[in-house]
Amino acid sequence: MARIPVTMVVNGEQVGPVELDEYTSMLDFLQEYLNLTGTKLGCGIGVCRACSVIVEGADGSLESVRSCINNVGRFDGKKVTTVEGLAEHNAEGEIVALSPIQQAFLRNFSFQCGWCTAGFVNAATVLLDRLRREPVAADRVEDTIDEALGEHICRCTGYVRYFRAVREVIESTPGLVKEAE
Amino acid sequence: MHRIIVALAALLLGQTVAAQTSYEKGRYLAAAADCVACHTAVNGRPFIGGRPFHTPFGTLYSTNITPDEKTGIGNYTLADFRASMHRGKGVHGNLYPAMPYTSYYLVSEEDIEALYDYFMQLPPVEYTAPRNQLMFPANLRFGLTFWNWIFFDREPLAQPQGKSPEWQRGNYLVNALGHCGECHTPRNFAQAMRRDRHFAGNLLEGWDAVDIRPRALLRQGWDREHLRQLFTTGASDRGTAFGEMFRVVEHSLSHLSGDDINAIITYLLDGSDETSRVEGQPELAAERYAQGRADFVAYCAGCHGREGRGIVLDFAPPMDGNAGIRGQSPYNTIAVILRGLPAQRMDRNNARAGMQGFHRELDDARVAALVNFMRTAWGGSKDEVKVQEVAEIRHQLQEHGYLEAAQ
Amino acid sequence: MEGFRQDRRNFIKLCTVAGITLFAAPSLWQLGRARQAGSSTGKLNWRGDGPDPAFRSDGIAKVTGQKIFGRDYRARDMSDWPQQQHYALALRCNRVERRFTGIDWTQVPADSQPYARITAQSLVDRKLKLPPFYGEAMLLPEGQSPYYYGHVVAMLLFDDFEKYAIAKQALQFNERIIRYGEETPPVERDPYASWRIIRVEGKGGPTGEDLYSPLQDGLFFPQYRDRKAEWPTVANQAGDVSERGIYYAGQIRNQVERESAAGNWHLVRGQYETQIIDPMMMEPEAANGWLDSARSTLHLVLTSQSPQDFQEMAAHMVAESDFAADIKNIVVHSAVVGGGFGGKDHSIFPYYGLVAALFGTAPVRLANNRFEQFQAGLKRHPFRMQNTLAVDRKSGKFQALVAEMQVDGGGRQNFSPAIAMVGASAIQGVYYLPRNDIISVANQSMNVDSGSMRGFGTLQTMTAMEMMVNQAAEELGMDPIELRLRNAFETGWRNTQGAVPMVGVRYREMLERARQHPIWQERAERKKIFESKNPGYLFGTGYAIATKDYGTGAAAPSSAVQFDPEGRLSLAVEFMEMGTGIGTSQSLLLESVLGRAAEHCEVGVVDAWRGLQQFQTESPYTMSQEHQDQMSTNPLWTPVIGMASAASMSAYFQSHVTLQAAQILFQQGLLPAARRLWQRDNIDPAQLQWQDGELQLEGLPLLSLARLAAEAHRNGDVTGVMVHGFNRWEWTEAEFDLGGERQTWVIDGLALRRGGSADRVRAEEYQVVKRKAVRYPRTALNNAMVTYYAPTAALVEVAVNPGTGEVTIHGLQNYMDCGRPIVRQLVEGQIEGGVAMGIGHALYEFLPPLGEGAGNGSWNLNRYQVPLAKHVPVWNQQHEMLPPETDKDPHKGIAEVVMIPIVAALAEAIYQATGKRFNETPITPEKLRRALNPQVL
Repeated sequence: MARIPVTMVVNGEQVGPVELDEYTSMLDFLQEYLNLTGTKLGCGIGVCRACSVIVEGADGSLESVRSCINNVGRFDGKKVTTVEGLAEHNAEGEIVALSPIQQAFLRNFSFQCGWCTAGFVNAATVLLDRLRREPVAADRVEDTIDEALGEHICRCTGYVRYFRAVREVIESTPGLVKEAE
Repeated sequence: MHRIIVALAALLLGQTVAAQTSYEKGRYLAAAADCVACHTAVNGRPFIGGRPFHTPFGTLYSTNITPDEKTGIGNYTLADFRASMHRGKGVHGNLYPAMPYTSYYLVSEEDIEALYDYFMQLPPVEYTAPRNQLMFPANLRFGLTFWNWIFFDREPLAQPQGKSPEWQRGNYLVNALGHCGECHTPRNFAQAMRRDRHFAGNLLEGWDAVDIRPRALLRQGWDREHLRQLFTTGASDRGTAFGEMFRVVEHSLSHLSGDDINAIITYLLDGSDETSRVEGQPELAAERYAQGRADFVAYCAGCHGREGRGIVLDFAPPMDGNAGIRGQSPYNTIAVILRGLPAQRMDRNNARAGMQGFHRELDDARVAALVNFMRTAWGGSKDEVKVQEVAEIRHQLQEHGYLEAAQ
Repeated sequence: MEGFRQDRRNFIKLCTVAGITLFAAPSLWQLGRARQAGSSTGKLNWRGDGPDPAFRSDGIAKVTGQKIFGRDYRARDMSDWPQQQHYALALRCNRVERRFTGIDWTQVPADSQPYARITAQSLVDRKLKLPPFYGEAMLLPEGQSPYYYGHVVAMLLFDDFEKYAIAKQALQFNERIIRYGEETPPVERDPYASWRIIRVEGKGGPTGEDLYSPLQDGLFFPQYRDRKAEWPTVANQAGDVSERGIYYAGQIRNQVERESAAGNWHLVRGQYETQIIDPMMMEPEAANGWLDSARSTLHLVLTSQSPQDFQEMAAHMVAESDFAADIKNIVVHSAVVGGGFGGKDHSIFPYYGLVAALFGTAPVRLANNRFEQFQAGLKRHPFRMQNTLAVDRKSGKFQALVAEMQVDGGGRQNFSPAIAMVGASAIQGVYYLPRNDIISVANQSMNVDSGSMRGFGTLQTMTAMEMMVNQAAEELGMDPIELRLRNAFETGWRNTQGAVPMVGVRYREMLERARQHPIWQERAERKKIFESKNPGYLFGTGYAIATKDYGTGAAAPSSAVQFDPEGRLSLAVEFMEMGTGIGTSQSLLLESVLGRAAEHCEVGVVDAWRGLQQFQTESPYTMSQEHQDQMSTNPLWTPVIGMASAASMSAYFQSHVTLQAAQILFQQGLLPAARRLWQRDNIDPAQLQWQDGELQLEGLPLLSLARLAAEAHRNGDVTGVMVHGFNRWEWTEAEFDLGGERQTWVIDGLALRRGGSADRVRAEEYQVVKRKAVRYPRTALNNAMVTYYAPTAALVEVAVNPGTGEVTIHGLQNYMDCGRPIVRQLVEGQIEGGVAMGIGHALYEFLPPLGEGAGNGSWNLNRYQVPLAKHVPVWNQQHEMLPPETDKDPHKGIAEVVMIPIVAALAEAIYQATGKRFNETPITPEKLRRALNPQVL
């Protein structure tokens, strides 16, 4: 067994360098070492997307990455955001404000059991980030959501309220939608 | 000579086939000839045509081969049908050689008749495929006469002495019905198969339709059992079928009888089961390609397992021993890393998740190092993949729009 | 952990099982939430200002990734637990046809060795045995052949995560770790249960007395020979229950053949099959347990939907083992369940977690990954049915149903007997049947065991019924809805068991609504238009209606409501939160009675109910009327103390006791306070009204709940009410002396709090009020099987791609009667989830049996296709909830019922599109493609 040193920024906090078995999955690292259990194991083979986390690229753009099938090395030196890192907290660590996507999911009663929620929150957050740079035509909003979230598995609410919530945010946030082509 | 082969082939079809009706036999042969793969539009009904083929000369569409009189082959006589299969002569002129008459000319008369019977009994569907969009002069069908004259030599199926009946049956299935050469044989400037390089591999739609000559297959680690698995399920510990080959397994190979699969394998391996020994050197590979190894662990091992040994084949194949890694050409390994693979479902029991493409995240140097690490560690390769090779493949794939394809 | 001190023993006498005291710790999530003070106010307050809540009460925790699920908790998250977390790995068989000859320990990586290896011998040595409900051989002994695919042979304990992770990667798919010897014959056992429901209506018709029915005559059972059920053969109209039954069954079968031969009755006859389904709840099962030797206490954190029953059975298991001397207390820490669908109800999994904890030297975590969850998790029972429905050709009235069902229960019995029974009793759907002979046998097999998964047998059988009805309509040339209307069951009629349902049925209304819908009215036109616009595609419309029975025939919910001196309401309920929004909806229920929603709702509460000091004796299903009569004279006796949480039951059963508690609290706590504050001795409660949390009586100043609460606390009045109810298809009523008068309440146990300071419901603050009289529902109602229903219907239109066999849902209209929905958005979310799951059952989800199936350990979501967004009409589904008839309508359970009609509606729409009828689910694209293209291999 070989160990590698890993350093990254998780939810704005510097983590490491810490020595880990190189085959440690990012999901296990978050859960077992950082005690961040908001990122969920669903299938463990990259299909259900419950384990998606946000990785910030060099240019500041966001990408949704599956933490179950990627080992820690892929995240070395990266900025990672998990579902725990999206809301605003005060000095006491209490939540004071939620992100627009989080609010929309609440408002729409998007989830029931909540296990897939972290993945949906993160993927939708990444989608908004993309649309800020590349706005979508008004008549393509639903298709765009279908593509961005279409692989995520939800077992309780049949996707309807997640997708509706995302559409609501996209359509009500200035700059994400352009006129239909 | 021709007649002997026909007789022999008929013999080899054996009793199971003898008991079939002509229609059933034709249906089986149509599967063996994989007619459905080309004559079905994406998401369309079988045999009505409309699938586009992008050739260097423009886009061709497959035609309706249901017996609809207006739009299909309803007016074909047996002779018309034979002419199209054997000589590429359609009722309305020459067929483009995207129709593999360059292989089907080897199909026996008896099989032609069975196929004809079968096609004439299909439910007729009225459907006209889109018009071909070809550039001059390829858009002129009479030019095909010259093409045929120059490039279409109707050499009969070789039938070497001393080969078993099983081998001969395999020869027929592979070269005539299966028309494997159409993908696996390199083509010349006029898109004709190069006889001298039969089965030596060919680039197609951004993949390498690999070298399937016996020595190459054995080098890649394909023995009887692994090939049987691949042909019947689309997956084996040597790797999985993807791209067009997945469709071949889905529509054709997985429907063939055990005997025919055995015959194909006997022919392909030329009776040998002695895969070449691979001297994998993981330590050397790790030392020489440290970044490649680190990237394998970080990006690949989650699915392909510790030390490339896989997790469970029903999910993803191991890389240790993978045919692509062991093969002469690194093309597919590089292309898969860059492009990723789509999710594939063979049937309700057998399906695999897609693979992400890494063309955005891994640059040419890292891809080269990753490929070199795997080929050295598990493929026993002595040749090093150069960064430039990756760059070229990336460029080609980019050009043809294969890197942005949805995964 | 003050709850485990010796001085509390006097409170817990009745909760001691086999000498072990059972505790439930406060819900872990609630503890976490207490630390998150900011969220209870302003924009982050779930209640919001409107009539509906702003969002789910657990919403913020879930959308911000806080620890709330059982699987989330590690040792370091638990107060008073040691920091170090150990990990357990279970080794499971992926084959059954050979003898298990031991474990090749050399396969375990050298640097990742377990510190404990638990085998069957270890269990024998410590006298540990599974609770009888689960059968034998918790771990397979060496020398025996596996009883079923996935049988556990050993558990390994590791003292750190890294070792565990490395060992798991090396062993999970290792073919050499478990050694197998020679081939052996398969393990076979008798069926788990057999049922037969025979009924023949009498001269009085649907409402009159039956000639024969289970309710009237009772049940009889077969003998088993060669592992098959053999029913009695002696028929005698004047004989005993079985002889009479066989006589009438013969009459029905003869009449069916005779009338059909005479051309009077049309028969729809066929084999109907359903597949093995994995609930695929998103959270795989996990358990974390710690044996605190110093305090003789075993702690467990579970993902279970049935922690109460677990606790009780676990106590017996421990008490009968060598560990009895070391363990005086068992504490179950309840948590939010990350999806269950019944797959975590009475699962065997927590018992492996318990054993791991017993052998561990620190807290031990056992957690399935998804491959393991497929291999070992409970499944939905596959049914194979041979059905005949006889319809009168002239009137279109159903004349008889003859059905024989084989239900595959898998390797362990679990709830198979109940599912076979409920499935059999549900097949009638929304129809009246004058004659029926329904046989249902639950069989043992080598498959992974099936359990009480969503549908509970009814999905399987009712879908078959709807398929038959659609086929009958087609063959008789009748409109399918018209045929249904002619046969719709009416309130007051008898069901196949001879019982009269308690709840009014509104099938007719529901059918009429669908008949008016454009999707139905214009279906021929819509097909024509669609097919001409989309050449090559086939379009079809289908309808189906189902009615889900709910309840177990022994529902025993508990609830407690209390207020603090500031008027903050807190609520404790027994039901688990399974994501269905129980916390939210129960909290909101209080508003109508107490003026405000509960600010704090604890769900899945186990421990507090000892405040009621109740005890139970025999099984409520099998006890005699004499036993019930005799025991009910003891005011602390109840047929059942606690119950599992089946999702659909929460709305109805839990709501009932919550409302009872609230009403008693109002009457005994707030009303006296109001009298004093208003200085009025006589207040007519009917004149009182709540407005914005203030109590109103004309001409008098408003009284805020806070003011009333303060007064009640000051005066030592009732400030909390805890109740327990029992329902055996009818509610129990009991009389209590309250405030100087005798009152009747629809409960069987009551305890009150006066004053008090705890902010959460605590047993020790409550004092029992012994009932003066009680009326339990007759034990004969056990023969009635089910009498509560919630109906739902679906109208669906599909486009089929005949080339690929892919089905696209073009439009979908749901109808449902959920009584009075408590929180509309939650109900709608349930509907949409049910739709998706129904689509999965109808078109995609499939597990093959035996060696190819989930038990071989290689299944995961790459192969098991659950519906994705693209398979579901995300942007185009409509729901219509029937408006409640009165504001007294019950809150009905909903979760599972919605998925049922979708299945048959889709099968019918596919038939209408393609002309192919499928009586077997799932109708996968592959199957449809083959059926539509027989010309292609």
